[in-house]
Amino acid sequence: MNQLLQCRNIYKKFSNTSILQNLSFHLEEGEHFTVVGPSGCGKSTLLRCLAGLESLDEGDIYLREKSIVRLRPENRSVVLMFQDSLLFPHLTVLENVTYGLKRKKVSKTERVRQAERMLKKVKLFKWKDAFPHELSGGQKQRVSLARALVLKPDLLLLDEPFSSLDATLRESLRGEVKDLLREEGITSLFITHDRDEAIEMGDRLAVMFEGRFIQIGHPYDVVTNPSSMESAKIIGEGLALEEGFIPISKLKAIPVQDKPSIQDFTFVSGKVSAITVKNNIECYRISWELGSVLAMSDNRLVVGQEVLLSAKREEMKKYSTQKDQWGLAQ
Amino acid sequence: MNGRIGLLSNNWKISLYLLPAFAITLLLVGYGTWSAVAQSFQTIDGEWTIATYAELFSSDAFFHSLKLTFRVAILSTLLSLVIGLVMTRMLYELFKVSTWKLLVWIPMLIPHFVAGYLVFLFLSQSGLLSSLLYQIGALENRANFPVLVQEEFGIGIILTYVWKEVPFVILMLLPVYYEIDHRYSEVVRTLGGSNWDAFKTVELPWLLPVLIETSVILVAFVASAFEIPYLLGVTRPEMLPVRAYEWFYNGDWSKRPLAFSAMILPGVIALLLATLSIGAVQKHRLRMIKGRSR
Repeated sequence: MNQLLQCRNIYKKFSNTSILQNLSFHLEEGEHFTVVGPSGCGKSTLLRCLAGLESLDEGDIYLREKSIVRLRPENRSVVLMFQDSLLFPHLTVLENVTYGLKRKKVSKTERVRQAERMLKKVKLFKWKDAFPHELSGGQKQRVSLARALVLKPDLLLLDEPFSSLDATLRESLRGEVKDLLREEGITSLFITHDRDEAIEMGDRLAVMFEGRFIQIGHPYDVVTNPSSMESAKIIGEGLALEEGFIPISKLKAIPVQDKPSIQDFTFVSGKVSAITVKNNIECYRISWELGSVLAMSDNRLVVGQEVLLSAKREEMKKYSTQKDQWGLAQ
Repeated sequence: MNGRIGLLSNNWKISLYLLPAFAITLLLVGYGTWSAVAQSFQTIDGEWTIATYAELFSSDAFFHSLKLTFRVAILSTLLSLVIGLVMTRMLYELFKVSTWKLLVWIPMLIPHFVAGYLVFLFLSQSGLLSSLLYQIGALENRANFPVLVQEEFGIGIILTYVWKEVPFVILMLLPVYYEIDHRYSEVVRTLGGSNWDAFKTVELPWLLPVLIETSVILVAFVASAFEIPYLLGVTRPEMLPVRAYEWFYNGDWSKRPLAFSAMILPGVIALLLATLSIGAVQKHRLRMIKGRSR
């Protein structure tokens, strides 16, 4: 695959606060790249810089091997999809979808044809003459996606586009959007603070912390083998400790009155704060003064019950310190 | 059921609060308007007739005044809207600071007749500006200074109204600018639109209802205000309010119904414009409010 986007040592500051710090990464053509990180870590600023809505303080961005840092947003083949659908309220669904094509001076017949094709893909063709206020939240977001995809941008940036939707709708839309992006062959950069969303939407996943990527890799590798405690806390599915990480599958919650077996080592003592089901297995959220984690148990636990979080010591994965070409721990 | 009773009592409460203002408006403005309409359809002896309107429509002088009135009203309104819009667009962030806002609103605090007098003082051929230009040698003779006041086109009148009305336009547009979600402009830019496209697609649809409403208010006001055209206009043709004043106050009482009919006509035009514009903007405004992403 060809490299579509390259970001080289980009820096961005607001006043005296560094938002992006020496950020370097690349995207392959047709790749779906997800960035996950806590609020305020610089995810949205990164997208705004790529879209041209913010200028860089240092560094360069190459799209198809051409620097785009000096190009205005309208001259970059990059479309940004926001958290809210931001459909123009006075335009119909069809007029919203054809909007970008009209700016690109595509003939009326052609832009209507392309927009109608895209509306069929997002299953909203029969709503083409409706106004945004007549649509539901999910429908609006699908129109917004159609409006972006119809332009066939080199790169589609998605800034937490499902965050304003309810959980069920969010899950169903994720699948739809990913399928549509693949069908259209669009390269995408998706940012989210939702762990599950990050894993599902990306071919590769980057963990962002304080303006830099602290880990990039296949979602499964990143989730099961975090490279640092920060990465483990953000994305790891298990217990993040100073010295290493214990995956959820190896972690057991034991009632305090039961003694752990001789091979087990107790890492944390806490209380059951919630009971949930994950992959058809009953799981317990165990909380203590410094945090909380999901764990399984051989016993039936109840909320408020005091437990010990145990695992075999050899199950703990040490954080990797090996650096990749971007200076990130792998 | 309880909710309905609660709503009803609330409506009654609101009606009660509004009653004093409504009563005063109805008594003073309503009675005044009714009297004016009635007298425009009556002879001086109190007989009902449409002869006054027939006389009015056969008068060339009336049509000259009507033409001048609406030319001045439309030009000063358009200029005020454009200048007000440009200033608001450029400076709305600055206007968040009350000092700047107050500075711009100063002309609104000055009465119209004082504004007219100031314009006369500054812009007449013997005024301060011509004196200044003459003193610094930019003018050989003060008579060379262009005639800006008391001339047939109404330049002085238009300039005074523009100076007075621009702050009013800003006052009307500022809340709209603060309400606009500027992420929409970013959407336009990433979809390939220019700054001008962003203005047309994002700002103008929000501004349009207010611009239309403001223009109706301004046209109605300028077409019916008396002081400035009286101070800065010429004797012939004079603007309608001045002509109506003359008909009302000259010695011939039989001309009084003409004065009323001459002023009722712009009133009816303003009322029609208001009704049409409210009908046109209301649907658009509702669609904008309901459809925005928040």
